[in-house]
Amino acid sequence: MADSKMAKAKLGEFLAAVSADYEVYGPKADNGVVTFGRIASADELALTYSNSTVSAKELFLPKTETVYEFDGENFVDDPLPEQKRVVLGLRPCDCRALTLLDGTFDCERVQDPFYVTRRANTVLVALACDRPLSSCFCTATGGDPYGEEGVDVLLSDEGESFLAKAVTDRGKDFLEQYGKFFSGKAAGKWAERAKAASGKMTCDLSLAEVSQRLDGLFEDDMWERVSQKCIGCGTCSYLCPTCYCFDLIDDKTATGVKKIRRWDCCMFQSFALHASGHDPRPITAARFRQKIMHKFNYHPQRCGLNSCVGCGRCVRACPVNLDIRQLLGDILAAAPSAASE
Amino acid sequence: MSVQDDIRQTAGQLLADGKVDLVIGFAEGTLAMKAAPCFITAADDVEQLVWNSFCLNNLAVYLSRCFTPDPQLREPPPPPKVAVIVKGCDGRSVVGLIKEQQAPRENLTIIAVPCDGMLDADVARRVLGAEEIVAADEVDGAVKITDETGKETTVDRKELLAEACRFCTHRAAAVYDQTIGELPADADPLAPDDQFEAYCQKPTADKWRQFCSEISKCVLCKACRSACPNCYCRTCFADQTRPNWMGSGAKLGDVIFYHLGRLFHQAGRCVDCGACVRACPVGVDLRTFTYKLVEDAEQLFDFTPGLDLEQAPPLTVFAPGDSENFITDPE
Ligand code: SF4
Ligand code: SF4
Ligand code: SF4
Ligand code: SF4
Repeated sequence: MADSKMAKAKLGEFLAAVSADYEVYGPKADNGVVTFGRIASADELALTYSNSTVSAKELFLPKTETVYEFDGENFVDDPLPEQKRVVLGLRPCDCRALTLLDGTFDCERVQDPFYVTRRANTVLVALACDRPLSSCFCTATGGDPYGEEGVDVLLSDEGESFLAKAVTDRGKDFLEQYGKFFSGKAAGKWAERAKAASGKMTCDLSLAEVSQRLDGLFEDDMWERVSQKCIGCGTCSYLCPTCYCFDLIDDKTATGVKKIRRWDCCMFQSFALHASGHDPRPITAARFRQKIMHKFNYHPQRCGLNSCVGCGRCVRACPVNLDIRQLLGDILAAAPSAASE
Repeated sequence: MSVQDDIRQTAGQLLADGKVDLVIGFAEGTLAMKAAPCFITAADDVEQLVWNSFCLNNLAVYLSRCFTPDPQLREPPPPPKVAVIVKGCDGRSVVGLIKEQQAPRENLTIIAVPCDGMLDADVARRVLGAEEIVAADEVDGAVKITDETGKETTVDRKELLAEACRFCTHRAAAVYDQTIGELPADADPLAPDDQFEAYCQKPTADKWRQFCSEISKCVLCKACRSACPNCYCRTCFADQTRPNWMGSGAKLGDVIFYHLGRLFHQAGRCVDCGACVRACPVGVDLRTFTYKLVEDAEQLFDFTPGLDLEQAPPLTVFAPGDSENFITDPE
């Protein structure tokens, strides 16, 4: 079962069987916008998309979630999200992004109970990319259209059937559990298909060195220049699978308050504003520098890896075409000596 | 001379003569069917400026930013002298900003350019059912588009017009200092349909239902606000913490509150450029509702924003003949 395939005709039946044991989530399309949501039947699944508009991170870090409630007398923790879930059809970059989020929400210093519970209860059945978009650049960041990092089961769309490969023990158990839908061997085809897919990537940057280059650039006057057209809308972060900043805010209830955690973004004007009124990042250039430095300098220093998986969502969605690939390319192209001046 | 060459020459001259410190225009984008806003400060750099059918952004959004120095500077620099390239919609926004004192007229050089309606990559994706537009080549109103599979399709540019451009009747700025090329006269919309009219005709309860269902897709990033030239408030009501007007966003009511707040602030000011809709990362159709505002301003107050510097915005003045029907008889 660790390496087999499933005829697409069986997808409906398979989903019904899985739904009996798990909550099933997958990509859904609405007027060209693909987001992840609960899937009730196979025809709701949009499995031919290139990449979802919003990343699958929202299944682990929801846009808003209640942390606890104070009812006027007692603090009541919100129940942990214990339900068992399967996410079907997310892309390898989104799975890899979750391994990066682990470094923040499930690490030595912090175990975020909501995040950790969701991660532990969720099987990731990813769909490899045979048609990367021209704005995808996962290979530049160390990922791959057939990448397996963070993936439990990897699927590959072969036309009439899905090839399926268990990557983790959890994936193996999952494929065994639904063994009757899978048959035959697909071995041998994987390497060839993966090679064809990565051959279609168009971005030839190698981002391993960006972190070092950024070391001397904090005070550089480039930030003002490169961020001039940025309108601080936060679209890039909201869609990004590795951006995780959040805000804690009180919602009034009839008798007390609910503590809500919601997405936040370092590009927002109020993000770093102190209660005193002082703002350490009062202008767009400072906020934009923070975004790039966090992803490509602080994060690699702390966790060893850039906090970008090259999904290209920010590239596609930025309303002013501020293309992060171009920016990183320029930083890499600048003479190293200039960078450390 | 092509419009593009003329833009470059004009910008270069203004910079070389020291008449402006900065020219805001468009540069080549990194994606097909996209041009990117750009900021030119030296005459040597004017070659970066382009003019094509993809210069869709409303550049007026940058003006209030140009004239808002870092709030923590003890001695803010003097306000810059700025030239801005404007289509009809940008030009109307600039007029609004001048009237609302967000951009000093004497510091502006408004350069009006002709617009045939801009083309939108997202519309092209929808029309062709494509995931990505890889290349687009326009010749005489026909656009040859290559999608992610390599398939080429030739489409009439009218089909690819950005939604706002399909409805636009003022494709040239009314207030300007210099013109380039021949400005188009006010005219009938290029390719309207009745989808927005259909909304305006609905009974109030149905309007509300459509509004709530559309707005429920919103992720409250407020990019629609950031992209809007009219939304220049130093601190938006939606971001204020003392007092805190908005809930966390966990309830649909919070989202409705944000959108009603923003929409009301746009009444009689929105120029229908569509920047908010195009900025939305999740495709919320805000235009249906802003369109209604524009129509209301026209029908109730006989007012179209952004056409002259003198006429007072309708919601800032009281006239004995003002319509009251929307209060007494909202249906
Ligand atoms: S999406 Fe673009 S304009 Fe918006 S905050 Fe990000 S970089 Fe700035
Ligand atoms: S920074 Fe951009 S490309 Fe990188 S992971 Fe985030 S959205 Fe994707
Ligand atoms: S841009 Fe879209 S998602 Fe963001 S706040 Fe506006 S309507 Fe909501
Ligand atoms: S929505 Fe209203 S308060 Fe917020 S920036 Fe726009 S005009 Fe200002």
